[in-house]
Amino acid sequence: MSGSGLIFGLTLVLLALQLYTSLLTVFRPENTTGDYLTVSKDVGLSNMLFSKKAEFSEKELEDLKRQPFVENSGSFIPGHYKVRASSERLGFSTDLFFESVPDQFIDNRPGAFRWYEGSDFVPIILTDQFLDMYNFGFAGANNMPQVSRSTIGLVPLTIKLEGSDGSGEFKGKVVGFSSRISSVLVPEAFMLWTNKKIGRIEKNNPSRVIIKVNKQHAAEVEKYFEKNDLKVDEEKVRLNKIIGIADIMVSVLVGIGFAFIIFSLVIVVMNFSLLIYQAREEISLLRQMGYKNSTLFGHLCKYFIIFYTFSIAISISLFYLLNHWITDSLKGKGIELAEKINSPVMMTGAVFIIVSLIIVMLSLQRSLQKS
Amino acid sequence: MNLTLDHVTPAPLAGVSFSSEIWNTSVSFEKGKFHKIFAPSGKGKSTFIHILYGLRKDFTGTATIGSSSINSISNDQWAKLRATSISIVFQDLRLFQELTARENIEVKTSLLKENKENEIERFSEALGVSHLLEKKIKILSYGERQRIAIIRSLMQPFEWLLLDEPFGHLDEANIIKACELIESECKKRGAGILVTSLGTDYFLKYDNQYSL
Repeated sequence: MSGSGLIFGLTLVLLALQLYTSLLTVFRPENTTGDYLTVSKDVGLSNMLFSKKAEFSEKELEDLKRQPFVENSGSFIPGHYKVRASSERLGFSTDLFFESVPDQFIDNRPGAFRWYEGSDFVPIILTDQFLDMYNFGFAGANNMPQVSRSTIGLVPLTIKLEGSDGSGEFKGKVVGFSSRISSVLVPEAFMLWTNKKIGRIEKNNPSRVIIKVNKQHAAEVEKYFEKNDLKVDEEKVRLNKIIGIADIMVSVLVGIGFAFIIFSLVIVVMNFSLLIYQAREEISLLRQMGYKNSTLFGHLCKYFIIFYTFSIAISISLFYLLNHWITDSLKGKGIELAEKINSPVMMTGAVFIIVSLIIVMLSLQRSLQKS
Repeated sequence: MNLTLDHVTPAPLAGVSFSSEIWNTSVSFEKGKFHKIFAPSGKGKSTFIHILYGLRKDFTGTATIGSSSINSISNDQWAKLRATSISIVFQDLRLFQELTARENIEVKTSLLKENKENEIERFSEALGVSHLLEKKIKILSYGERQRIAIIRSLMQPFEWLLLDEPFGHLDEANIIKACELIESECKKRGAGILVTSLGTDYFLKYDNQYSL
C-alpha cells in the first residue's frame, strides 16, 4: 500500500522531468532561440508622412531596459550608407544593407566574426531565411546557381559602401548563419567605424533591439508591446507562453510526485516503527539473550531494503515503459521526442533514491534504540 | 571474574531498615564457586539477579562485574557479556511463546559459531523433553518450559550462571537430573553459580549461602 504510493510518486517525478527536458530540446533546438526576442518600432503612417525613421529614442530604450522581463538587451545599429555586394564567381551583384548587434546576442558566432580598424575584410553573418529566400526564390528566377551553407562561405564578395560623404571598398565573406536574428550582420566595431567614416553620423540610434527574456516574467511581454506600439516576433512570444505554461504544469506534476513520495516514505517509516513497537517485547528479550542492537538493526534493514529495491525496480520499469509509450504516441502526432533518458532525470532519480534510503534507515535506527 | 556488591540498595528498599547479607553491605562472589541466596517470597531475589544481569539500574551503591562497574557497561558490552560470559535462567523463563522449543534454544546457539545440535539432543534427552523439541512453547506445561529454559542457558560459554528460582515446577526426579546437568556443565567451564531460592538447597553443593 505504501509501496504503491512510492512507486506512483517516483514514476511520476521521473516521467515529468524526462518529458519536460525532452520537450525543451524540441522547442529550443539550440536551447537559446526562445529566450531572445527582436523588438522593433512598428512602421506606421506617421513614419511615412513625416519621414520619421522608426527608431528607438533614448527614453524609449531606457524604459524597455527597465522592464522586469528584460534580462539583457542590445541595440541593432543600422548602417547609414548604401551597400553593394557582388561576386565575380557567381556573377551577381546586389544592393544590401548592414546591421550590427553586440556579440553576446549572436547565436553560433564563429571565431572569424571580428573586425579591427585597418582590416579590409568584413565577415558577415546571414539569417537562415535569407539563404532559403535566395535558393528557392531569387536563384531560380534569375538563373543563378543555388548555394549551400558550406559553399556560400567559400564565395569571396566585394563590398562597396557609399555614404553621404564617403565611400569604401572591402572584401567580405559569409562566415555564419543565425536562426535567432533576422538580418545581415557585421561586427559592431565595423559598424561603428563605417557609420562614422562613411555614413558621417556620430550618434547611432537603434532601429531594433534584441532582448533576452526573463522567463519568469515572460507573460508581461505581450502587454507591454501592445501598449507601446512595438512589434515582436509573434511566433516566439507564443513559444515563450507555451514554455511558461509547460514550466508550471511540470512543476505541479513534479510537486505532486514528490508529495506522494514523501507521504509514502512517512507511511513506510511508520509501518516499520509500528512493527518495532509491536515486537518490543521480543526485541527486548533478544537483547537479554545477548543480541546487539546492530544485529537487530541489520535484520530490519534487510527487510526494508528488499521492499525498497522491489519498489524502485517497479518504478523504473514503469517509467521506461511509459516514456517509450509516450514518445511513440507523440511520434505519431509528428513530434519527435528523444527516448534517451536525460541526465538531469537520472541524477534526480539517483539522488532521491539515496537520500530517502538514508532517511528511512536513520528513522529505523532511532525507533529501534528508543524501544 | 568476581561479582561484587558494595553497599548496593535497590530503590524499593531505600529508606527501609532491614538487615541483610547482600544489601547495603560489601559482598563478593568468588568466581568458579557455587553461591546460594535465599529469602522468603517478595524480598527482592529477582531484583538482585536482574541488577547483576544489567536489567535494573534503580539502585544506589556500586555493583561490579570483574573490574567494570555495572553502571558503566554499554549496551554493546552487555550484549557480549550475555552472549559469552553470563548465562541466566529467569524466574519467569522469558521464552518466545510463538517459537518451538528447539527454535528457542537456537536463538541462543545462533549467537555462537559452533554447531550445537548434539548438545541439544543430549541435554533434552537427559531432561526428558526431547519429544517436545518441535512443539511450540505455548502448548508446553510450565515444568516442561522450565527444562527448556535450563537447556537454553547451558548452550553458551559462561563464567557465571544465574538461576532465579529455577526448579519451581519440577518434581524431585527432574530436579536431580537438572542439577546433575548444570553441575557438570559448570565444572566443564570452571564457572560459578548464583542460585536464588526460597530456602531449599535443591541438589547442588554450595560453597557459600547468603540470606537476602
